[in-house]
Amino acid sequence: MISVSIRDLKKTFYVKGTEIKALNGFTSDIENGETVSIVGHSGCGKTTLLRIISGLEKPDEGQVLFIDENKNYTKPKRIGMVFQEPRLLPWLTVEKNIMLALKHIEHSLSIKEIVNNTLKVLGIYNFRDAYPHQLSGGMAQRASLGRALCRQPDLLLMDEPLGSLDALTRHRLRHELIDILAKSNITTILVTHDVTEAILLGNKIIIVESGRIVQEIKVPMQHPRDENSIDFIRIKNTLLKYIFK
Amino acid sequence: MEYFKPLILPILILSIWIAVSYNGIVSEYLIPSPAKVLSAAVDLYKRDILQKHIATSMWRVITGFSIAISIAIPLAILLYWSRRIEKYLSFMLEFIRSTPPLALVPLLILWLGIGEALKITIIILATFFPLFLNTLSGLKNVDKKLIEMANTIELTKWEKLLFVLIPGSLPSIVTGLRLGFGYSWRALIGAELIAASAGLGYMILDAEALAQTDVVFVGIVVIGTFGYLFDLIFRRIINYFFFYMNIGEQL
Ligand SMILES: Nc1ncnc2c1ncn2[C@@H]1O[C@H](COP(=O)(O)OP(=O)(O)O)[C@@H](O)[C@H]1O
Ligand SMILES: [Mg+2]
Repeated sequence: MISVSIRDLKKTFYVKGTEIKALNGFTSDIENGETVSIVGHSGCGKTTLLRIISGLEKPDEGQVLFIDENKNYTKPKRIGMVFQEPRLLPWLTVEKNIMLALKHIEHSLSIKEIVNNTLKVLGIYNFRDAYPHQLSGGMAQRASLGRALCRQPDLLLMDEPLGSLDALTRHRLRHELIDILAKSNITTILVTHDVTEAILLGNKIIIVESGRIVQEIKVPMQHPRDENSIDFIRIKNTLLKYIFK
Repeated sequence: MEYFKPLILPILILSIWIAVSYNGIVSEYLIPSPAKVLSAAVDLYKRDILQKHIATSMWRVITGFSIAISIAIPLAILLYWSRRIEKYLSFMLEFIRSTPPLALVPLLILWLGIGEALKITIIILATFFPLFLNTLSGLKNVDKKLIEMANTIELTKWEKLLFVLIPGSLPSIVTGLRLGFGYSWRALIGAELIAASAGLGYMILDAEALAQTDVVFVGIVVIGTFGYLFDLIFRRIINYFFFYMNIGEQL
């Protein structure tokens, strides 16, 4: 288990001479086992933030620190990253795609067992021998979730994982994801542009604008959360007020 | 009908050929009749001469081609991994690439003599660049998103090569093989015309010296047919890869 301390991140991109400040002093603390939802308008720096936390990108300034249970600085043993697109290797079956993520992972169960469990939990066991092009968008994104989760990450990063799915698939997968996350206790950062999704999944919601935090909102509700409850609607209204202020 | 379209022109040419040669408009020496060419082919075949020349040419191409593959593909991978080396090599590679292998023949004869080493070196020179450049550009064009994904699941350099880079650049590599094979076939015949004592190019040159125009024709038809057949095989393989890559691309 791991907590993440994000300190004053800055990242500027230059596109044809104009500078774009993707992150402009982003600071936040994410507690051990917490699920944090990050919401904000398109282009506010959400993807850049996840890419820096995962190590895919280097910040210009600032740092990301990982802290273990004993308050010591550490490195995450395994990060699970879910991109907006499934990013499955087209030349491998679903099963092989997931197996590949377990190449360097030691575990008491055999790789075969972990993969089978993962496939079953995500409801794609019957598609294990299918190639990515044979899958629907929802199935492919399940496989991509499986690839991240089977690694038993101590930090799970998800960049609009349900963003490209149709409404019905999205609704189903959202609730499955809530189940999985509630059971697992993994420190999770979820980027989403869906306010309902942010509240359903997050213990805390971070609203980002122009590369920095404008507001943090706690969600003191038990799972499963009722979208129509007064508490839920109240939080949603607060959130919308900040986003569209 | 679609299948016949490519055949119309050959049939037309064959008809004109038959007409011209039987009417005696052009001398037998310049354009022998198809029947004469066919009987020359049968005769060469029966005496095991045709097979011998085909086997010799084929052996040279396959040897040179294999050597070129085993240099060009690893070198492309090495350069892909180390962009810094590429900067040092870029001028030299461009220079050699712009020099047709046959232009080097006089020098190569001086260095290597006129034995097998010469022919195989010419094939390697002809094949190397299409293979090398296609492999390199294939590697560079592998979807960056897949490479990032491979990094997040912590694949090693070699695992990334095996599971992501090579499969991702296969269509390009096979295209390079196809071009390379075509080039090497043409360069080989050129080399055999200049200095050889066996092979299809030599067979043509030898027949010309002995005024056996029919044998020259046999040689040309055989060379063209083999070139075409190899190209067909490579095109089939490429279509297969592109098909399976394109449907993967939709994700
Ligand atoms: N590699 C890049 N090169 C240039 N500009 C980039 C790059 N990545 C992101 N940006 C820019 O930085 C800003 C933030 O991008 P991003 O983090 O993707 O936003 P979000 O995920 O919140 O939509 C955008 O204006 C985007 O165009
Ligand atoms: Mg984004």
